[in-house]
Amino acid sequence: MGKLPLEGVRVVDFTQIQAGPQATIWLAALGAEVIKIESNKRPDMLRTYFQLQTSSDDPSLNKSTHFAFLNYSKKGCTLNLTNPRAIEIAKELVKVSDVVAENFSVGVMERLGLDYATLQAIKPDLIMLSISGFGNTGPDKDHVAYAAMIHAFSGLASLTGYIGGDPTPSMGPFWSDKIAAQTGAFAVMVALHHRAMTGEGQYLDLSMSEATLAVLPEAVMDYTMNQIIREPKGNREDFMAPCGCYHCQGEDEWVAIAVANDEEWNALCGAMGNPEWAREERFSDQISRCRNQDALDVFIQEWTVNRGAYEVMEILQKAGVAAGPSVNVEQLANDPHLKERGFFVEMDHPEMGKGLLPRVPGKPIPTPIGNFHPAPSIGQHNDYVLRELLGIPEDEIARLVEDGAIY
Amino acid sequence: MKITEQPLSDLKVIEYAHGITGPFCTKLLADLGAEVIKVEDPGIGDTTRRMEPFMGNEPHPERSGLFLYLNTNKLGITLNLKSPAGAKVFRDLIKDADILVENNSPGTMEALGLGYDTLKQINPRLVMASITPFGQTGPYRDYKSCDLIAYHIGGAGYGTPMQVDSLNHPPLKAGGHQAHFCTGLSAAILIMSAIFSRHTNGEGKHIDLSEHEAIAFNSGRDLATYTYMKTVQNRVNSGLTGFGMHLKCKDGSIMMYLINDIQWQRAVETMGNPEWARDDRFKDYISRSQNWETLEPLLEEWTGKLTKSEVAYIMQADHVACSPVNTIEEVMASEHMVSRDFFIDVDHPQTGSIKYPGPPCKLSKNQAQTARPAPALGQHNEEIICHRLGYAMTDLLKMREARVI
Repeated sequence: MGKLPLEGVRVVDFTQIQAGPQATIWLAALGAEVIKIESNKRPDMLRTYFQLQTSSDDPSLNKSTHFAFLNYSKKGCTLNLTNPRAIEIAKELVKVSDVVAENFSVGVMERLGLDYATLQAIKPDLIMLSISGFGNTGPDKDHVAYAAMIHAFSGLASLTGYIGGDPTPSMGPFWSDKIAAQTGAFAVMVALHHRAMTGEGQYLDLSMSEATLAVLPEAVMDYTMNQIIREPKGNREDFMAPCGCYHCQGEDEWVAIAVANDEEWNALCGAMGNPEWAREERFSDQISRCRNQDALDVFIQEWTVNRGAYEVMEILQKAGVAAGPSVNVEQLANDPHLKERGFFVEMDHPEMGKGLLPRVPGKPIPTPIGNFHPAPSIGQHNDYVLRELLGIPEDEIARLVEDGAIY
Repeated sequence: MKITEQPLSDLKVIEYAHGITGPFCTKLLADLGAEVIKVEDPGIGDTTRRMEPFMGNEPHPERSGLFLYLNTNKLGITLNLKSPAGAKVFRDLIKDADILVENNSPGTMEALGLGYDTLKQINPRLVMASITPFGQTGPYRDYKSCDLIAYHIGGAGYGTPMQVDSLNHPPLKAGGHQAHFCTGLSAAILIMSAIFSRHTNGEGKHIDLSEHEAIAFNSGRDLATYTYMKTVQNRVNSGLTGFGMHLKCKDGSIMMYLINDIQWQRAVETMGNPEWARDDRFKDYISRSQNWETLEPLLEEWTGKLTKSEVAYIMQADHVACSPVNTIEEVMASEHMVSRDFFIDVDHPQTGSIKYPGPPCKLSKNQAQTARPAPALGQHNEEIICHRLGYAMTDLLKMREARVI
């Protein structure tokens, strides 16, 4: 095993729920030591969702499937941040760390006495990432936000939906959380590089709305250049026809197909056995096909509906046409290509048992990837953090527990 | 210690990529100060030069808004890498580059004699990222893809929209090119992690990034639920209607997210504690979800009398998570976004000065105030090939004649 890219980097992670933990999981999986701070008084709320029912049926904060993914390879330490002694310990931890990450409401870190100015005074080259819905300044900075509302606020929902239909703020993958998380992980790595070059730390103010708008340039630029307000396009893309998600055999099986030019169109027709309708004038070139796309979709679906989605992908890809199933999570977990690339890693969770979770995307060659151990039980690494890392004597730790600082 | 104006000012990047994934990745680096030299095929250039939207709706290779956004702060040269002279110039560029980003089909770079094994001989410190739809290995490696297919085969489309009444509504991709942007971001993370580790080990690296994996990683929570519980969420059974509420107002709609019963109580109080809110059918999020058809019109009786902005501000004043569903025009005009100075003015000879989306994260050590516009096709040929690499002007003329540039 070679070294992982972020080995030697320590992160104090106050983040909760989704956007924050999804950012720090990149850091953990790439080798950073991420220490998650929560408490039994205020555990990561995600611990209470999607809890696995096991035979013992004990209520447990350690059985959330969502938590198990978002926090694998991290360590867990319970500090009750309403206790001043716990704040002191958090500061001690920051002193021996490189990065602080948080996604509390704006102002919470300041109230706790853990704002960037305070922390920088004790750790001058500290990098701090704050993720919030709207950023740390501006009239809406205190607004409560979850991904679906960022889809709504940023305009992404207004661009997502069926043609002629309503905007769609409820997107399955909670997209803005993911985009903000990736942006945050990137910003931390940029700051780590900058620190290596200059010795300086910095503060990263990440607004989920802004991270989302940075991936909506087509709509923004159409508006600023042409004053056009874009609407949902369903599954269509510019200049592609056919371009859609078509019903296949089986109750809820679908295949996406997209044709970019005449060559691919001819390949598609050949793969479908050159049906008569395909020779109609209204489908004779890319522009006509784009214009008559609704009619075209009906014919395409007549062909796909008698076949499996994976079967259509194979037939069409062999012919040189872009096609792929719209997979549910079961199909995703069993996808032969992802499996062959070693995308799923087995982790043995002490309370949940063995499960297959995805590694980070991309295969760094030749360094092996991934720092895999299951998500921490609440307070699992208290001893490591408090005694080994911070050198707090055992009797003192006992007092802190009694005092409610460590809880 | 070196004082730099921008965090990545010391990095040199070569981009031989087209479309969105690779160019977005290098834009993220360029906007933070890295020098990015964009290498395009002579004559036609990047595919996004032919993609909508165009300034004035007039197709023109220097007027695509998507291209202009994706290529700010880059230098642009043209090179035919199939010609020996073009490949030589490329190898010269690689000599002192830190990063190479390419997104050509698997095997393309090797066929050009510019695969990682060759390039690392020239520059062992090179970090090379190869971005492809399915990666460099595996049964799908040569399959064709696009944003639609990447989004769906990566598992992101199947559960969208989350609140339809029947599975006859097909799975839906997100607006724009979300799969491609997400992949570009993933590439930028992996590249910076490799650059960071280079500080300690001095070694370069080849990153094989598959768009398929970049999208699938974002379904990690659901994969965990599947591996442990074998449950599969689709577009009707998410139960989200119990707390994610999309409601009509006088002038559009709002999205409200009541993640627990405390939030529900707050929202109900803000609406003036109507009698129906105490009904047993709405007592927790499961019952609210089950009785959504009854609940929705009751809620809309209140929201429908107000504008979406009024509803959002009234709710947020009581700390209830609520936002208007904005168009792009509305979010750009919102007082909040204006006060954050998020949108930046970029002046380009073909478009004049117009607003672009600004940086996705505000870094306190990024002092750049302005962005340089995207390069015209081959704009920096002379500057890079002659002044930087030391070729003579006569060489440049010969290259032009031979269509090397």
